[in-house]
Amino acid sequence: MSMIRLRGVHKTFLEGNRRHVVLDGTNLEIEAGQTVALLGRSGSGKSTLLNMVSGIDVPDAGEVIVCNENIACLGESARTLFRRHHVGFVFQFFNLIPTLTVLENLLLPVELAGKLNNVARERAADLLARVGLADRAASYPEQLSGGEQQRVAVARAVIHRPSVLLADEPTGNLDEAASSAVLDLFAELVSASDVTLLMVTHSREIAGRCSRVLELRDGVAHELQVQGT
Amino acid sequence: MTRYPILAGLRFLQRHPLHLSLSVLAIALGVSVVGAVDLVNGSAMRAFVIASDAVAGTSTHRIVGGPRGVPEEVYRRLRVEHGIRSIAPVVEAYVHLAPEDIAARTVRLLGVDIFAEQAFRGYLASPRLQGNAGALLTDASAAALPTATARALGLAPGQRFAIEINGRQHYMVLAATFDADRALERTALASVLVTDIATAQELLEMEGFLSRIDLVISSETGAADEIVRLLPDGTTLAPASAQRQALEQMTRAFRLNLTALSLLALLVGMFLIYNAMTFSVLQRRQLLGMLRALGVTRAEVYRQVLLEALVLGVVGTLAGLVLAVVLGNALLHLVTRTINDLYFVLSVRELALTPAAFAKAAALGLGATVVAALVPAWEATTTPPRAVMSRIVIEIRQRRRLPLQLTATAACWVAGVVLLSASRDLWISFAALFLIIAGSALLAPAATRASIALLQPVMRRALGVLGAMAARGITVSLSRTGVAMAALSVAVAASVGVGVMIQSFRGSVADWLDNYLRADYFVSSAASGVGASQRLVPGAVLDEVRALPGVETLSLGRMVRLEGTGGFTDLFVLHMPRKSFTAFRLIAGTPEAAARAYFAGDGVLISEPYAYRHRLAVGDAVVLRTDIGDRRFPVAGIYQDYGSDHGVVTMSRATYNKHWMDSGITSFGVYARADAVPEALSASLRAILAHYDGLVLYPNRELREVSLAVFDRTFTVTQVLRLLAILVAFVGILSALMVIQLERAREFAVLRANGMTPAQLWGLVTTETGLMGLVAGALAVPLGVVLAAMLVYVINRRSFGWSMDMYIDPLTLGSALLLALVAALMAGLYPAWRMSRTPAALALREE
Repeated sequence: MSMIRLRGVHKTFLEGNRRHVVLDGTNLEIEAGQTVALLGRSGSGKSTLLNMVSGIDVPDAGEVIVCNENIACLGESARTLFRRHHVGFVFQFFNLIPTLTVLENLLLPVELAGKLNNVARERAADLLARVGLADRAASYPEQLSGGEQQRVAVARAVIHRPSVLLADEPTGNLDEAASSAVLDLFAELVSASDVTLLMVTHSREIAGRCSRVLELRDGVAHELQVQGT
Repeated sequence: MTRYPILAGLRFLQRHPLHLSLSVLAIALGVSVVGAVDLVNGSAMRAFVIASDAVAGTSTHRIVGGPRGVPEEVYRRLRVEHGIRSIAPVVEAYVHLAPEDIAARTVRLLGVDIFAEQAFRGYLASPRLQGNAGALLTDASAAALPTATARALGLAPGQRFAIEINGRQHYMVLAATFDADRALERTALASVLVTDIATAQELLEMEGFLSRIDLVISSETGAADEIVRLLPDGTTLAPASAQRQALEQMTRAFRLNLTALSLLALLVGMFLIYNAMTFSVLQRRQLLGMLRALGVTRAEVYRQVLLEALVLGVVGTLAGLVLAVVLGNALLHLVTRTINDLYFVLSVRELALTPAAFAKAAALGLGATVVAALVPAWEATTTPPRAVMSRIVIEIRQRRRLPLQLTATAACWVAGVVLLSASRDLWISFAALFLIIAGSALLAPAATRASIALLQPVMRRALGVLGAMAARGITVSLSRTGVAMAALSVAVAASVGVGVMIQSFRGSVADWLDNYLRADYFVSSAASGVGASQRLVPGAVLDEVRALPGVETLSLGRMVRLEGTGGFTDLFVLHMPRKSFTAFRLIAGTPEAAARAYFAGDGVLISEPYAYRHRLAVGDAVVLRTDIGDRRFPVAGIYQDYGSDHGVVTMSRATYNKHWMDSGITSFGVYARADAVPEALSASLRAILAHYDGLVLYPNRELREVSLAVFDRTFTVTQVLRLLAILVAFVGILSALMVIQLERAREFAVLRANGMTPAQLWGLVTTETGLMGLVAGALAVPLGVVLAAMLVYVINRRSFGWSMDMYIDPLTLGSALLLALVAALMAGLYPAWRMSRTPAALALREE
């Protein structure tokens, strides 16, 4: 079953007086449970594509169907609610809310979805244990290292059991060891929760850990051969 | 609303304690000023109403007379010949109690017939008086005081105490004490001294006359009409509430102006709240962006920011209410003194802490906070749902908004001008004033950008790269600096506006006094202030003074308050040398025609406030109740007068004598001969007056100074409110600029990492904040002058009926610039100090 489907998606941005084409009739189909890496140069439109899938941005033309819903047709508020329920997000920087503790950060998506109960609390505790930070529940993000913060971010992205997990260069800011730990975590949590992962990365090595690799060139997604590590 | 986003927002505030506490302080100060003024105004009016009602008792009507009062005979005829029983004579005046004691106070001397009091003021009826009530009738020095007042003065029955009337001391004996039934009445009566009617007449030199006759009349029986038919010319029947309402009305403009001034402090506070909230939203764009990415809707973000503002508002308002009581107690004396100086005698002992006043101040504080946070809250909803947003995008957006802001400025100004010209209503005028202030605030970002563009080359030449950086630092972060500049310039402009208004007022009054006071010496009753009994000057004094060799002529004045059914009219009767007519600076009517009509008895002059209040022009007529019935007096001229905002009708002695059977005078001016030796004449005058108690001599210059001193005293409260508005501004500016600089920790750390010394960092930060202060000050000056012009030409005219000239003291403008500069420089000190002490590496890592 297709979880993410983009059909003829066009997106342009005005840069000064020039219109810059970012997505030029992009088509894409990702099945449920797939892990997909999205490669591309800086400015190739990777993040824009991610924003389309999450409903943060809408295309100028085309369809963006996620979980059988054409979110390009939804209003701003409906897209936000869609994101709240169906999407998990991990960014490169600034993932955690600095004024909430680790546990509160983790519980935030569940609370937003109106599902904050004991089951959710148990799941949060379980996830924290799985990311190796059970003893840091009451800490604030600033008291954690970059790698630890990103592990919390990954746990938070899946806590509400989203259908789609989006990651925008989640290890771009980490050293090799921390990157590896975060990617292992991704693999573990994705397989455990049967979520569809779409991850933007610059690294072909990281891309190699995914089941599919796509490259965005001239506004169009091209399928690349997966090379195992 | 979900809990964690709210928690995140509130913790953000908690993590910025300096910013938080300064914002709370700004709200608290704004609320305290509004609350204090409202409490004071309320307390003063409450005290006035309670005192009036307690003294008026149950009377429904009162018979009032001409300049000397109601002839006693009227009372006798009504009671004895016409059998009217619900009737009581009253002689009333204000006197000083225990003048040499530290507990000295102005009290109302009430001369009554204790046998007639039962139906009016039950507490004064003979059976209720404790002690030797009979002595009141038999002993000409016997008096009664409220029990609590006697106790406060340490007086026991039979003891002597002093009172001062018109500068003359009298000794009274405490014969009896009395108490009202209700606590409120007891408070109101604390300043009442009671004697028998004959004793009061003797003390006040009113033998044969009464101040008024109180009556209780049923409104349905037609009894009022019957009594009116029985009254002789020169007396009239008025509802008991008429005078109270007229006096209350008199102070309305004064109280409204105080309220408006306090609202100005709150408005400044609102700008500062707006600034604080905008800034906290800007600072948190990343956090808000993250929340939006996680699925927090715009509406939730909006509510969250408003909720945070509300939390600040609640804390600030609560603190403000406590401060309001402290400030109110401090202002109470100033406001009461001004009412005493300008309007009527009022004794307010304590602040009445009414729930309504607190509720109003709290509602205003919370309302102002929420309204000020509406725009920042809306701004917050525009945060795109992504984690990182380039600062430059925010700045570009701000720059794109400049034309819109300029349009909004124009719209506010046009709306302000339209409102001003559409209505004479004072509230609408103040609304227009506030619209013009708001419009000017919207202009601040564009004006800042233009000013800095002009200054940048100068700064580069004068201070090199650092100077250029400092200047550019302001425009590149216009999204933040623009708001702070708006708040700063509005706050300083408010101070300039009120300052220039007071100067203009004072300048106009001084100029008016110079022209108005023509005689070389003035003599009047020692009793000063409104409400002092009008003691007549003995004719013998005039004869003696006239006989002095150095005296050329005298001017004779008689001040009369004519009470009627619709309130009262102050009538000034003036006999003066023809050459002195130019003392009246006419603003309507030709001097020749007006003088001719005045001296020939064909017309009267009215003061500008009187003309404004009664919408009268030259050629119209004033109807006055004379001793021979109501008479119309044509208006021959309207003259400038700052003596009373209630307004005065001035007529010649000849005109007065034709209509009133009263030859008394209450003051006179002495014109010296050209060859008179001032010292000798002054000594001779003093020697004569030494034989007459209660008359004081003022040389021309001294009277001018005394008058200006009263002016300054009455404006003390305005100055205090102005200073408070400045304080609110200062706190806000400090907070806004400090946060702007603290937020740039990383930028400064990069500079430090690249070799900038701590001293250079100090230089950069203080130059930038100093420049902001200077530019904001420069923007504030023209806005302040515009505000002053509106206060002078519109608000004052509509409040008090006075027109005046603008006097702009360069010192006021200079001190405004200095205020902005000092506040801004001070705001830069802490961030500069902190950043110069923080190792660059730490600052970079912290980010």
